[in-house]
Amino acid sequence: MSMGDLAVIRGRATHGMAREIALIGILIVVSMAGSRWAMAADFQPWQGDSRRALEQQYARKPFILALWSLDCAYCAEDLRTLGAWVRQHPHVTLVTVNTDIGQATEAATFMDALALPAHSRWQFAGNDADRLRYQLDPAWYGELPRTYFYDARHNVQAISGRPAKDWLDNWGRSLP
Amino acid sequence: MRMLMVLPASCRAMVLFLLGLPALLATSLALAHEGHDHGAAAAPLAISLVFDAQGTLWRASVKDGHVLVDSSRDNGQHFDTPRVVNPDVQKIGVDGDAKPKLALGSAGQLYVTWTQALQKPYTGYIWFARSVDGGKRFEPPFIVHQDRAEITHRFDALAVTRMPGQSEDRLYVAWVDKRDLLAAQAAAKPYAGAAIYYAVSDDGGASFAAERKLADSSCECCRIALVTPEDGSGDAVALWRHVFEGGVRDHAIARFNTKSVSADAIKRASFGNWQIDACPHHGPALAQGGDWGWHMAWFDGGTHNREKMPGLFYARMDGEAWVSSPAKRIGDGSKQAGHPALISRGDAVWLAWREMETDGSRLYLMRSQDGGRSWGEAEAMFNTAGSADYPMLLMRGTQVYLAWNTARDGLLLKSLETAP
Repeated sequence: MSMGDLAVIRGRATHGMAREIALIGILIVVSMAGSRWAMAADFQPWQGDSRRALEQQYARKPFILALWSLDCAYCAEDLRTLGAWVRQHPHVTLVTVNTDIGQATEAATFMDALALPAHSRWQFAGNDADRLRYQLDPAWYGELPRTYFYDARHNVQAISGRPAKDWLDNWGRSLP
Repeated sequence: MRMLMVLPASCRAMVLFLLGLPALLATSLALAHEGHDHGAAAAPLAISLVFDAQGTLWRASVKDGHVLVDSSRDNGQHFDTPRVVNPDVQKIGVDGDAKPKLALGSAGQLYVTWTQALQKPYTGYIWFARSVDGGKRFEPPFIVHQDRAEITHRFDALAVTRMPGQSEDRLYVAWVDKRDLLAAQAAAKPYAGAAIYYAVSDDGGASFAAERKLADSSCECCRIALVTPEDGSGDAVALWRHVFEGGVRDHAIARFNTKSVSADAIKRASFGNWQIDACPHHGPALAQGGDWGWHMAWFDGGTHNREKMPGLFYARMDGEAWVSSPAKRIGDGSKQAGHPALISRGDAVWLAWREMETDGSRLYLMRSQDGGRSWGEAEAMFNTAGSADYPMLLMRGTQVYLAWNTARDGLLLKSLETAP
């Protein structure tokens, strides 16, 4: 669409063709909302208060909050383990958070390759990963993988590194 | 357009919409690209700084896939037009402990290294470029290592020295390398961590000899501290996070040169016994301690140290063992004291680190006047409300400076009290 065409549209608008323009506008808004929705389906933006919001969303439900990054050599295996585990324990919700700001494409490719069960995927948003980390948990220094295991009462166990399979199974058995 | 006017209004709207759709899609993709693939449009905060002999401050930074070098004659208040070091756009490592490195040659040359992130996760190449005309222009960059497999070559470290009687600088470039891990995996043999490799140039960075292995079983994602001692030896000393027996991520130190490195050259340098299969993204700092040894600062995760608490530590070491014990705990662990910087001049030592605050972060500094035996109180030096790089300590002639690159407050630079 050239600038000339736009000028014509603007010109017509002044000649009482507002309805036409409004229709174009609606179509544009609908299509943009559609593309935004498609992006959101990939990664939801993780912000300073996202952990609290998640705890409210999963109130009285057990869930696993797993943080990972693209350059973490242990994260793929850890995520596979957690994915397989929640497949066997479908009452436990898996939530993953990628800590690489601004690398949605790479992170999505990485995640898709792991073929985890469908779950809610998040990615650090904004431009201050250190702060998001600190807001999420002041006792977490950035080592990855980092995983928070919530039971239904939201007693939380935080683990840096890969939890052993035995530990996971024991935790699963301890759930009410 | 005129043709469209014969169509009913709703059809015209649809046609116009469809005509506009490609442009709209391109716009929304561009927005997605900007918003998601590069985060904020601002350049990453991870930079390197060095003063030259004339007191000009040089800075290496990364923006839009280029390593840029610019200079300031007024201690960082104003910088000139940056030189583009890599003509072709690359994805350059600036996350966590990664940043471009900048070092000064003995005749004012500027040496730069960086890590290009490749397509596959964890993979990269280490690049080098130099300027031999005082920073006017940079020669074409090249890859330092001969191994070109698409595997991990990341976390470049750079140090420069001059051998007595030699006319050209000697350069050491060290990095984290996974060739041995992958070979072991292919042979179904166990291998912990990655390896440290290094390459040496004895012609001032015109070329590098084939790389050598410094050590097996390093941590995979922490910066290497690399220093060339001022003792005429032409050697280099590296301190890095290592993977010891049982997955313990303590530190190792080694002195090395152009000859093969024997296994007994590698000494254990920290004893926190942090046992973890994880990437700490938290490498150490190292500075020469007179003619007796080394000042070291590092982060320990606290699974097995004395207080069972994570935190930052300082210790001194001669070539073989600690010369003070236990390690000194630094800063406020509950505020994530971390990412240390060290510099020394004779018996004076400066140690800087960063702590998080509810509304930003703060830089702290500690000084010792007796080679690290005793230390003054921690002093708050800078604070900033937004995101920030890790602290840097640098020397301008004999004057020590503390530097911190921040999103809100720009480049903060402060000259530190220096004994004559």
